[in-house]
Amino acid sequence: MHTFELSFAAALLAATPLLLAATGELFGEILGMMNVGIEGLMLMGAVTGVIVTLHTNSPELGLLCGALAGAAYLLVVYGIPVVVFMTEQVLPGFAVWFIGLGLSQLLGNNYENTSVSSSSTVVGLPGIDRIPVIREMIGHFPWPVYVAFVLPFGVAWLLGHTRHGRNMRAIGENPATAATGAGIAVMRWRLFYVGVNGFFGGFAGAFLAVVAVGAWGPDVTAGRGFIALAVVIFSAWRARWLIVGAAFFGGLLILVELGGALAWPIPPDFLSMFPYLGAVIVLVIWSIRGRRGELSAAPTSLGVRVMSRR
Amino acid sequence: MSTGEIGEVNKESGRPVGAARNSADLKLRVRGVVKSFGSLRALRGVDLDCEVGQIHAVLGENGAGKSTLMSVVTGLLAPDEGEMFLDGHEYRPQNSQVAMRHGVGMVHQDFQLIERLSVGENLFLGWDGAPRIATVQRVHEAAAAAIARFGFSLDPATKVQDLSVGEQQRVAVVRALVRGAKVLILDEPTAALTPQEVGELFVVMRSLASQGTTIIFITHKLREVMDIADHVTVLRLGERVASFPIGECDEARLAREMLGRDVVPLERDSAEVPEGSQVVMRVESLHARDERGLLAVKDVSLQLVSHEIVGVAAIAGNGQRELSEALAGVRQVESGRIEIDGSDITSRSANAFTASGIGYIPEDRLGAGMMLRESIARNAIMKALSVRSERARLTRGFLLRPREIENYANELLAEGQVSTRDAGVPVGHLSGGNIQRLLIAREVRIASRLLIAVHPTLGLDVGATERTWQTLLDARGRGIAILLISEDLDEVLTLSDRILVMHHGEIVGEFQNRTTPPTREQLGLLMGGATPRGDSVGVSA
Repeated sequence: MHTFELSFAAALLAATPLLLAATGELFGEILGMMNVGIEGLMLMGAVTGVIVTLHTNSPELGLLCGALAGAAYLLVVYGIPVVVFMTEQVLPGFAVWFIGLGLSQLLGNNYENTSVSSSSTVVGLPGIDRIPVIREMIGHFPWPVYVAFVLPFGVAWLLGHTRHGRNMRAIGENPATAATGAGIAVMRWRLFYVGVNGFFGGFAGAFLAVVAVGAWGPDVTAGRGFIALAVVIFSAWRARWLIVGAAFFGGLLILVELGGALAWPIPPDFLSMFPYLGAVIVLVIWSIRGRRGELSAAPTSLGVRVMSRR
Repeated sequence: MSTGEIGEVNKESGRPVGAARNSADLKLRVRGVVKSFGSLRALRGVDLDCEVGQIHAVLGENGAGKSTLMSVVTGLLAPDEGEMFLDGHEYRPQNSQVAMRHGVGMVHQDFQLIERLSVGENLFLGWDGAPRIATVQRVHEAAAAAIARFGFSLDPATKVQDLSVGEQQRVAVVRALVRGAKVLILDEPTAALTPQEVGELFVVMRSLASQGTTIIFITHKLREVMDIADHVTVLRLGERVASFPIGECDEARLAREMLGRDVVPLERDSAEVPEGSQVVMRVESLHARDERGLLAVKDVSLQLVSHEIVGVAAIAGNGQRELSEALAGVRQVESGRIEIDGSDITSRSANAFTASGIGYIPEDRLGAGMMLRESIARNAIMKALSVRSERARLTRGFLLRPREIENYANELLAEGQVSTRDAGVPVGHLSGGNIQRLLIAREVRIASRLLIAVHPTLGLDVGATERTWQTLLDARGRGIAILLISEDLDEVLTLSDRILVMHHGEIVGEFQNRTTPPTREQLGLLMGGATPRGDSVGVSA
């Protein structure tokens, strides 16, 4: 039995869509834009990814189209009202969720429960193949898993070491001042990062359906979009901590399967609550620590309606 | 994805236009600028001539067109008519980035800095000349070099939120200079500074001007114009009414040009606090916390007496706001005791404070003072219903009496000289100055014993300020105790019978303003925390 190694690998696989979606959401939130509808965004990416993969037999193309569909979808449903027409952010976020829920079912009606193959995406890490234990743990994954776990390091570098990243943070702190005081074209930057957010959210959904599950179904995300939102809060807006948060929630997500496999005397329905229970507990702990000033606080303008024309 | 094409450089601006028409030393020339907003003509053909290395004051009341003119010069607004020349070349900026590339930079009244970023990060934010890839350490090194080059002293690693107001202003100035500003526009730069900081700012301005920077200094303070400017242009109602070298004018003349009339002297019924004045409010070792849970008011004891105006001088954020809220009953007290007319009301509700005859003009007028979507009438009676005598007039049992309410509101509108007579209009439709006058009228009406006034004239023009001051003096004449909290030392020195200085939540000095008035410098030092408690001249506490 390799229970530990296999569970570890399964947890990383489960963590990947959370990590991708949370990374996208972090981009948006750094610029002050909270999108509560990641769930709907992931569904749009998922259904697009499966349809394209089934028609082209190319999971790579499916993932790319899922990501692009996510970007386009989020720009239209969230970016235009929030950034261009300067509405508040919660209702457009709900629109992203509900429209995504309905639209993806409509599009995916004829593709439900048709399995897709994505074995071509699996790559082996050179060198690791020969180390026992580690090989089972991280040796063979679809490439998006590796991408997802490297990405936050790139984001951390972008935010901490570049002019571009400092401008991003300035917009998230105070959009009006960033525009008039520092001369940043705030509206353009915010639209761009709505697109980036949508890209990674769509990619996350496409990965989930095409690679992790291997089929489309309207319940494929099962609340993972909301967990991704919790991952961002867990990270306290520090990119590298997204990895820790996603791994933590990924671990909670596989508890159901693990419990079944090991015949734990706990009802599976109860186990499937754990990620959401975990999210609530994390929020409470983080809120307490945040009030004590132990964590870096959220971008000051997060969720705030922007009233600047520029 | 990068800052991209934030406004192209004006293609026409490279072409010399009419270079021979003006003297070589003219840096900025504005000719006949007209700007209207709907039916309001904010600028009616304004000219402005600034020389190289000149400190040029632009003086005017609120609404005179100073800000509109500067928005045109910095490209935030496009003029309807008129032209501008920079170094003799036509200059027509489409936005503030283009203006900045031409060397025209502005330091806004609120400085426009990102508080949670460091000084160095703020200096280089959104600037194309900043290094693309740099660790925070490298940014701070580059910032330190820039700060030293312009002769300032600031720590580039400090977060802006930890700086004093004067230091924040210097960051904003350096930011403009780093980007190559040759024309530096300072919008009401002394508004939030202590006298010492004003002195330091003037040294900086003088030194920059001597190095060839043209400084446009926007203000409505006559004394500062006389102190620092080389030349002054006076605007009134969107027109340039005067422009002359500082040597050819004096304060009285400037005031006349700015107001279009002579200044009305204040009437004070008695210079001294009369004998037999009673103690209205007694405060004993009051402690109160701010929103962050920090102790903002520390061991404050004071007495407020009828027929007396007590001014509190303090730099923003030194506990004066929390003190005013505690005394008005809208902030919970940590410990200590507040008595009015001898009875303890420390832990009573805000309504009880109002019912005891305490009027309160809060700092945040629009948030804490008024409900903007409700009608003037509703706002007018908001607090009157807590006062027994007024309640008897305005209600019958549970029911409101609409006609009486309207009358009451109309009385306030008349007393406050608010420019509408329709009490059914939502307060949000009034201008800021009108809202403030309505609020002051309402609170003065309630204040049968004590009036707490926080920055009562902030944002008002000279005429409205005069009227507000007279209102406060009249209230004093009727025997009301007044606690005046203001960052404007002129206001404190003009009105107060007694002055308290607050620093870090404590009262660090007390002056009898009528007999031994303090100098602005003495007040400034105490406000800055320079002198330890009890050490200052004239302390009688």
